[in-house]
Amino acid sequence: MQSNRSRVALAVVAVALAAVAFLVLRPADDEEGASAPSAAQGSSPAPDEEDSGSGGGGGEDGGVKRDKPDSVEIEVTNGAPVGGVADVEVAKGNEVLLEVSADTEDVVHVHGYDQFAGVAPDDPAKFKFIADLEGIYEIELEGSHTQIARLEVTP
Amino acid sequence: MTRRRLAAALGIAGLVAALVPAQAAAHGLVVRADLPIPEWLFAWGAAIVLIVSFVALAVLWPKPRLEPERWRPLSARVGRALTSVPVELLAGAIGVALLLIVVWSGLAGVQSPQANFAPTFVYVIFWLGLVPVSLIFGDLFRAFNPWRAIGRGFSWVARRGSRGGLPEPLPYPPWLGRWPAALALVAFVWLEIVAESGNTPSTVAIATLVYSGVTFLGMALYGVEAWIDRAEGFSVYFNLISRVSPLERRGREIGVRRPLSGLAALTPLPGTVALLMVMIGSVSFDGLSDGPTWQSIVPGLQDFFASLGFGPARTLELAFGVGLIGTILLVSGFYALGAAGVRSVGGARSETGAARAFVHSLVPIAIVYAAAHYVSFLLIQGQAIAFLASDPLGEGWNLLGTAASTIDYGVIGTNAVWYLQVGFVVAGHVSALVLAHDRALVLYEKAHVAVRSQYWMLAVMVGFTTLALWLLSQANQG
Repeated sequence: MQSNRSRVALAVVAVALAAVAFLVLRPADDEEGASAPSAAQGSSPAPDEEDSGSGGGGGEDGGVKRDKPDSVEIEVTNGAPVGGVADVEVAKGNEVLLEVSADTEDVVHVHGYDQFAGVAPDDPAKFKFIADLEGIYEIELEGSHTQIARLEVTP
Repeated sequence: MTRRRLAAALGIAGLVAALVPAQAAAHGLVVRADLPIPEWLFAWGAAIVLIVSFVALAVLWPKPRLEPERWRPLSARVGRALTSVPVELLAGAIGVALLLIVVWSGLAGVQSPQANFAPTFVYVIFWLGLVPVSLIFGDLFRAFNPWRAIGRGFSWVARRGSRGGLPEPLPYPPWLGRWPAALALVAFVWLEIVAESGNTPSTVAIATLVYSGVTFLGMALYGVEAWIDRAEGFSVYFNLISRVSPLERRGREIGVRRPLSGLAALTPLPGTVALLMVMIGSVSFDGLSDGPTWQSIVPGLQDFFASLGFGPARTLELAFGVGLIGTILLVSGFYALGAAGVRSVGGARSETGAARAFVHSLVPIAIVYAAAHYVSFLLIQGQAIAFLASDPLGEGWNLLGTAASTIDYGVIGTNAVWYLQVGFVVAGHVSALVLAHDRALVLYEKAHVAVRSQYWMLAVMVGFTTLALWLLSQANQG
């Protein structure tokens, strides 16, 4: 039937259109390997440098892996983190050194990792842990329920 | 959600100028939030959706396949055993017991959402956990529905007690349709993502009591089954989802049908379109409210409500309320456009008629919106029920010996979540296309007119699907 043929033509056009759309929308480089749905499915982090797309804020994580821990300092005054709720971005598997100083007494809680440490005006809370859980987790002052940072662990 | 969100908002409110608006968590129960889907995967997802759509138009079947009734019973013995009176009584009793535990732990337990049984059970195990259960096993909730069980038990006792039998229930007004269910879902979602104290255990318990009261009233006026089938929000919601399942109970038998064909058999009563719009709109807003777009709108809305004289806590709640209702209305407007387009193809049906004729095809889309958005939340926060069941009040009990269990946040990796999300969205899109195409073949005598009417529905669906992917790429961006 002639309608069948025109339908197949329509499908071909559609595939071509979609391919063009993908080429246009695709990021500039280095992602092809990762785009195959079968790759990177496992829990182990991909060996290549996948940080380039994250627009990272830290600076420490620009390519350095596992050698040097990511260190982050957060200061809380008047019940709020200085500079707003901080974004702490680390790659999975990195060691995190986190130091929180505050002008009140409270307990700092890193959710998900469930790390707690007391903080007092002259006694900052110090954390040292391996970021082995992916996802976004809150870091908050447990007593006053104030979020002071979000820990973003990327695969 | 909200206590933390409000605390954060209040803390920051003084220093607004330089600061990003408070991080609004979608649920107060969320500990691990998902990373946003990366752009390249978003592009892949959208591209696949487009390809699938056009290929579907080209190759879909020329005769309806889902519309004809095809249901055949499984082994009669199994069916009769599963629908026997003792099994029904047991299922109903379990439902009623769980309802009572929710109310009791919510009222008597510690008022911390994380440490109390009620919020996690209602928002995670019941609301989200029953979705995959209904998808696979069919309408199990109907058997466990505590309100239905109580209603039936009550009428059984009453019939025994009064010799002459009970008066006939009032006829259920046809115009009411599924509107009460749509309203119930709006109220539930409002409690879940808008209300300031929505996940406080006592609020959950009181809301459960109020809703139970409304349901008992409805059942008393219009009869148990009439109210449960059309007006009770959760029954209607899980029944819609169960229509995807190949399993269906009829009378005292359990049989199999083609997957999705239960949706084709859905009667589009008044309010059905509204119900679907609530389902799609509320999940959309929950995703949107995690992203930067919404975060940039909130301060303006808050200022507006503050200028009307509302306090800081109330302004955030009102802003989220406006967001929720606004998103539902936007989604509805978009669907109305599609329906108007279908109507322009020809045929005498009204716009409402066209909207209703295709509404069943939106059910898979609504399901995958929820599935993609909440899969990791269900898998992670759902684990909390193990220790909460042992210690429902948060008093340090260990009833089942599971009180020491913890949540494994590594149970599903980020990549797995991403691929699941895109997979769900594409699967929902395909199912919707199939249903709409099948319906068009029934409505339009000529296949080519049917296909032409589908351009409009296709545009609506591609719109919804792309929106779903966009929301997933928005969520939790800083």
